[in-house]
Amino acid sequence: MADGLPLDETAPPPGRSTLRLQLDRFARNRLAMAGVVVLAFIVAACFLGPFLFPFTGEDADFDYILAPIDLTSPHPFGTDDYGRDLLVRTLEGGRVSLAIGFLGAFVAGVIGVLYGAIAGYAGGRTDGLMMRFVEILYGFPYVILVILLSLVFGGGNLALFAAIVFTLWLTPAVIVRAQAQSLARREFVEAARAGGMRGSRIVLGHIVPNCLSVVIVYGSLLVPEVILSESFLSFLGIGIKEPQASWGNLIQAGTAAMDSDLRLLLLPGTMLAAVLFCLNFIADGLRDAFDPNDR
Amino acid sequence: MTALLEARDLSAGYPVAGGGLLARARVIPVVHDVSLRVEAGRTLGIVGESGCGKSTLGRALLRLIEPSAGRVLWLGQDVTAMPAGALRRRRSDMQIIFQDPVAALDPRMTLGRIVSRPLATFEPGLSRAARRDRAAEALRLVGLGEGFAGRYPHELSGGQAQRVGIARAVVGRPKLIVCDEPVSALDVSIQAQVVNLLMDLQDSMGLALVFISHNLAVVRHISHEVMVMCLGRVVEKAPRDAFYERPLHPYSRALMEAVPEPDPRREKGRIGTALPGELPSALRPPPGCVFASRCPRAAAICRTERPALRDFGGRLAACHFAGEG
Repeated sequence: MADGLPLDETAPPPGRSTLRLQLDRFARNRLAMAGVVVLAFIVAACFLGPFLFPFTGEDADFDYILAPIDLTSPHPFGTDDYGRDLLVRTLEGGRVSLAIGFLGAFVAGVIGVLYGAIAGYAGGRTDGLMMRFVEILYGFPYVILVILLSLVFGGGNLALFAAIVFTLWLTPAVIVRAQAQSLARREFVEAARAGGMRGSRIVLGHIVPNCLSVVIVYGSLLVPEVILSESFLSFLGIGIKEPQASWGNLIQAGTAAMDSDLRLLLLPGTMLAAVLFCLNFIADGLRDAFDPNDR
Repeated sequence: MTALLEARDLSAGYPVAGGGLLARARVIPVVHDVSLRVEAGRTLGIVGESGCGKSTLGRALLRLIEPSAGRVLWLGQDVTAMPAGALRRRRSDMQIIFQDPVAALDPRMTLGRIVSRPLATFEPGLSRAARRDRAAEALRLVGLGEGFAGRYPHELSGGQAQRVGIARAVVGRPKLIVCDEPVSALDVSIQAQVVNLLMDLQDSMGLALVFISHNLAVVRHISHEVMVMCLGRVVEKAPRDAFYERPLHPYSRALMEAVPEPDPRREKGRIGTALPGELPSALRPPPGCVFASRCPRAAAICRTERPALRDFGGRLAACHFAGEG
């Protein structure tokens, strides 16, 4: 082989990946970082907090029925009409809501990203068929779909989860497909084909990683969507069933008692609102940090 | 003697929008009936204005887009009919480098991974360490030393990025590289560096090059043979020196006259360089000569009858009046 050119003398400092640069930019966004901190606190409180109490959210304490807020009593935020501790119930409900939110967004995201990346890369008729299928699913009325699915799965948390994932993977699929379509025409994908890579490897190795920015941003918006959708379904009574708590059914119980006692609505409502705010600030920060127009 | 790469009456095109779920997409033909041969260690320069099908031809030769008609032979073996798996392995022999050097590198990968990636397909027996060594060797060959393997594409200049593209192309030790306008996006000072690098590699590795460009001076520097395309058809093909001394086709002459003159006094004295007339649409190609609508010598026959490529003593031209002075 040839001796080659004289080497470039400017051997540069260690490389920094685009992802690294984007995360650095995100870390400089104060509002978004505050969102991360508050969200982390709420998540930790929901998953660890209930262990600090000697009772669970399903234990009724008949000495304290509909107790008011009293920070010195064993039930600092009071109890509901069955004598169940409101704070513990809210924290436990948060576990369910947050778990469904993050897990649902993750599963829906993974399905949507793979589906969209394959459709966008394949193009042509495959793409046409795959996207028509998505459009058909889009056409189903959401609530009816959920009711049908809970019939199929026999109700319960699994049905709720399936229903949420089933409806929410569509939008990431459409977004990623558009991105994949433009990526598939980029020269580095052509170079990969000239390098003998299989289509499946190109999708996983080149298309999906380059959709990452869009996926992270959209995913951060998907989490609140899933939480809201769980709350909405639980509020309608087709989601998480009593006695298991979720923010949705706690808020529903709270609204029922709203006229006499605002307290039952306030705590779960505030928690839900705080989480949604945090997630939206984080999503905003991620979008600014990952804006593809920037690079 | 069998040529390294040979194309016979190759046509290719792109599907246009309008093909529905059930309707077959219409294909716009972009390259028509092109035949060419490339021998080992030689360079074929392909010139022509934007949209004349040069890049499409380059991709069809490598079957990066499917040819719509005609055949491509690699060492006498038909590539157009080759099944996908065999073609993938065969790709180690024929590589491509691109016009936009930064877009040709995956922004999420380090240069080391970009360059070593083809080896995973072409030489699956290599260990990870061996692949890394080969990638470092290829990077060194193009003048990028230690420390570049860990860098990302956005940290490079255009010229450096193009050299990474070349390193990726040569890492599998190919026999032919299609260079699709490899220097058009680079600064003039960098262009010479990259062209000379390609020529060095050609000498040391015995590479054949298909060099696609609209820059006549660069093509003159690197090519052994020049092919001129206009609206998807070959209008002239000649050995380099004969071509630059006296182009036979009026289109080739027009291309040469369009090169700006660096001396302003001489530039002023130059006669009409801009071609009058309209570039015909690729969707409705004219029945006669592809250049007839803009040719200063066009006669009635040029608009009705397409001139065939004729031999003029070792060179080809497609013009009714070629060779008449």
